[in-house]
Amino acid sequence: MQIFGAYALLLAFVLAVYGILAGIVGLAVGHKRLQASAQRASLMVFPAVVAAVICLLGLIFHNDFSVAYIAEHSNRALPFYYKFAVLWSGQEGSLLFWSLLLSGYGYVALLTSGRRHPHLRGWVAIILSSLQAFFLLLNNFVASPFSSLPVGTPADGSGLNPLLQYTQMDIHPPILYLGYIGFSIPFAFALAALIKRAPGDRWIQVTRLWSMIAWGFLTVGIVLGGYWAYKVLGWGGYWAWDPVENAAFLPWLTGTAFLHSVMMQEKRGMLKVWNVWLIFATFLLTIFGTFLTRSGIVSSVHAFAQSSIGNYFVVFLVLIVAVCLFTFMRNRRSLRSANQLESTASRESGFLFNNFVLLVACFAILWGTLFPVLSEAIQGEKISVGREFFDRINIPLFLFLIFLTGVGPLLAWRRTSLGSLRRNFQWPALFGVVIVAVLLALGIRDPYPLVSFGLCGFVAATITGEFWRGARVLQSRGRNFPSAVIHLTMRNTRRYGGYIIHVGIILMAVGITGSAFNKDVEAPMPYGASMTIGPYQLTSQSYTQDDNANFSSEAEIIEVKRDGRDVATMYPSRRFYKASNQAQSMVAIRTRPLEDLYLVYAGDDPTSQQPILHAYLNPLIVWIWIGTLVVVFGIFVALLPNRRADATRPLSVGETREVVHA
Amino acid sequence: MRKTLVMLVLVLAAGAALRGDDARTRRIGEQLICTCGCTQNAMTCNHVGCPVVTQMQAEIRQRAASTDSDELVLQSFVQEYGTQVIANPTHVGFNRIAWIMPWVALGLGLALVLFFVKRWQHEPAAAGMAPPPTAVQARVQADIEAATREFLDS
Repeated sequence: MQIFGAYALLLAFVLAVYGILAGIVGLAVGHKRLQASAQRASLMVFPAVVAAVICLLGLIFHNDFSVAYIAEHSNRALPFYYKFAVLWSGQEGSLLFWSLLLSGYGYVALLTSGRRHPHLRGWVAIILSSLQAFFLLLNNFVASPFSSLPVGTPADGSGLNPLLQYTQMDIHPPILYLGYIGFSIPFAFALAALIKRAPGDRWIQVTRLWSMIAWGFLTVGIVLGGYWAYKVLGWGGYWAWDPVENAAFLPWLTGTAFLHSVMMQEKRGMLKVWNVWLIFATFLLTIFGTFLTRSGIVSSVHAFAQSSIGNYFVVFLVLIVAVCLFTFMRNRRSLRSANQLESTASRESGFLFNNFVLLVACFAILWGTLFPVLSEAIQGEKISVGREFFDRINIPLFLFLIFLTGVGPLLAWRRTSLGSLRRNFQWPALFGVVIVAVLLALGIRDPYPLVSFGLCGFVAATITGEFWRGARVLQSRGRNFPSAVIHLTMRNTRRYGGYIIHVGIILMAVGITGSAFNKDVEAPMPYGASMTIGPYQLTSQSYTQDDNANFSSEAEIIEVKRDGRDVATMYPSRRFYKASNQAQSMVAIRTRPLEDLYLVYAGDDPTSQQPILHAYLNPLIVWIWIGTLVVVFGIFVALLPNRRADATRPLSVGETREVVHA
Repeated sequence: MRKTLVMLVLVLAAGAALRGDDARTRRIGEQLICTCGCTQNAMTCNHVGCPVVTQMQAEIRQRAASTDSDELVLQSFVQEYGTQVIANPTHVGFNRIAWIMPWVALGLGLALVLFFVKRWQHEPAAAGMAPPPTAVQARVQADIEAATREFLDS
C-alpha cells in the first residue's frame, strides 16, 4: 500500500506536468485534441491524489509504523475518529491534504464553471495544473508522507499531538484549507481571463461565485480555529493575534474587499484592475500564509516545525507574482474601466471606503506580523509585536468598518439625495444613540465598547429597516409579513443574503466587544475551598480520576452557585497522554446568552502542591459562534439563484408612492 | 469548625500570595510575553507543559516587589531573555516605525480614495451612459432607485 500510494502521487505529478506542457503547446499551435488531452490530464490528477490519500489513511488505520509519518503522528490507542486528523497533523500529510483539496476543487471547477466558459477552460486547466504540480512536487520529492523509517519499525507510534485530539480539530483544518485553497479557483479564472483579454462581465461572475464559496469556508475555518483555541488552549480567549492566525485573517480581509468591490464592476463596470489585483493578492496571501506556517520564520504554537520547505514557497510566490505582473503589464488594456462617480454620497463611494479600511487593516496586520522578522534583519534583534499593537491599530478601523456596514445599504447607486439619506438614517441612528444612552446609564464608560454597541445597534436597525421596507411593499400586494420577507429574500438572494451575512458579522462584533468586560480569578482550590467570580460562587466538591489506553485524567468537581442558588456542577480536568508524554487541560464551560463561565484546572501549584483553578467570566462570547452560523446561513442564501418575480404588471401610482416613501 | 475556618483563611492567604498579584506585578507582566514561542502574555500564558512561564511569573513577582522602577525591571528581563520578551515595540528609535507605519498607510490610503473619488467625479460619462441628471432629476432618480429598483430588483 505504501508503494502504491507513492506511485499514485508520482502519477498525479506526471499528469499535472503533462497538463501544463500539453496545454501550452496545444494552445500555441491550436491543436484541439492536445488541448483536450491536457484538460483530461488535469482532471485525472484528482483521482490519482485520492488514491494516494486512501493509501495513507489505510496505512494509518493499519498502524503501519514503518512509515515515518505515521510513526511520528499516530499510535495504536488513538481513537479511530482522530486517526483522520493524522492526515493533516504533520507537514507531509497536510501537504498531501492540500493537494487533495486543490485537485478536488480543480476537478469540480473544470467540470462546472469550466464548461460554461470554454474560451477560458484551457488556461484555467493550465494554471490549476501548475499549482497542483508545485504541491505534488513537494509531496513527491521534498516531504513525502510515504517515506519509511530509516531503521526498524517501532512497536507503537509517538501519538497525535494532544492539542489536536478534539472534535473541532477533526473539522477545523479541512474547513480552513477549503477556504485557503478555494481561492485558487477565482485566481485561475481571473488570470486566465487576463491572459485571454476576456471582457470583465462574464468571468467576474464565476470568480465571484467561487470567491464566495472560498470566503465562506475561510470564515468558518477561522472561527472554528478560534472555537478550538477557546475550548482547548485554556487561556480563556479565542484570538491572540498569533502570526498563524493572522496569516488566515489576511486573505479573509482582501477576499471580503473583493466581494464588495466586485459589485462595482458588475453594476457599473468600475474597478476592473483593482478587482483583478484583489483576487491575485488574496491568492498570494493564502500561499504566503502557508509559507509563514511552514517555514518557521515566525514563532507560533500553530506553526509546523522549522524546515527548509519555506524556500520552495518563496520561489513559488516569486514566480506567481512575476506571472501576474507580466500578464497584467501585457494585457492591462483589456481591463479598461468606466470609472465615473456621480456623487460622493453613493454606494460606489461606500464600497471604496470599505475596501480602503479592509486593505489598511490587512496592511497593518501584515506589518505587525512581519515586524519581528524585519527588525531582526535590520537591527539584529527580534522585536515582539503583541496584542496591544494589533488592538490599538485595528479596533478603530473595525469600528469604522461596522459603521460602513450600516451606511452602505442606505446609499443608492450613483447618487443618494439628502432627503433619502435623512429618511433612512434617522431611525437607525436614533436606535444606536439609545443603546449608548442605556449603556451609559448602566455605568459603562469605556469608549470603545460604547461606540461598538452603538454602531452594532445602528447597523442592526438599518438592516431591519431594509427588510421591513421591502416586505411592506410586498404586503401591500396581499402577502403576510413573514411570507413577504421570505419572498423578498428569494427574489434577490445576493442582496438579502448579504444583509443576513452582515447580521451575522454584527452578532460576532457584539460577542467580540463583550471581551472588554472579561474577568478572571486564579486561586488554589483544595477540597472545600471556594472562590467568587462575578455573580458565581465556586466550591471544590471532590476529585475524580480515569484511565484508558490513550490517556489518564483527573478532574476537579466544582459546584457552581449563582446568587446563592445551585446552578451547575462543572468538571475541569487534566489529561496525560501516554504515547506523547504530554499533559493537556480540558476546559469546563457553562454557556449562557450573556456570559460564559470558563473553568481551567491548571494543575498543582509546584510549591504548595494544591490544585489551582483558573476561572474566567467571558461576557457575550456565545454570540460569536451564533453570528458565524448566521453568516453561514447568509452565504447559503446568497448562493441561491433568484426566484422570478410573480407579478409582471407595472406598479400602480399608489404602489410606487408607497415604495418611494417607504 | 474553627480548624476549617483557619484552614480556609490559610488557603486563601496562600492563594493571595501565590496569585493575588498587585497592580504593579500585573502592569509589568502585561508588558512581557512568554518566550516559549506561544506569543502569549507572560502573566496569562497557561498552556499546560509550558517550560518557561512558571519561572518567568515567579521572576516577575519577585522583581515587581523590588524598589526598582518599572523600566529597570523590564530592562532586567531584556538582559535575561532578549528584546523579544517585551510584548510590544517600544516607542524609541527604529521600533517607532512599527507604530507609525499603519497610520501612514491609513493616511495615504485615505488620500488615494479621496483623490479617486474627486477624479472620477470629473470623468466624462462612458459611451452609452446617460448624461448627468439635473438636481431635480437626480432627486427623483435617487428616490426611485433607492426604493423601486433596489427593493423590487429581481
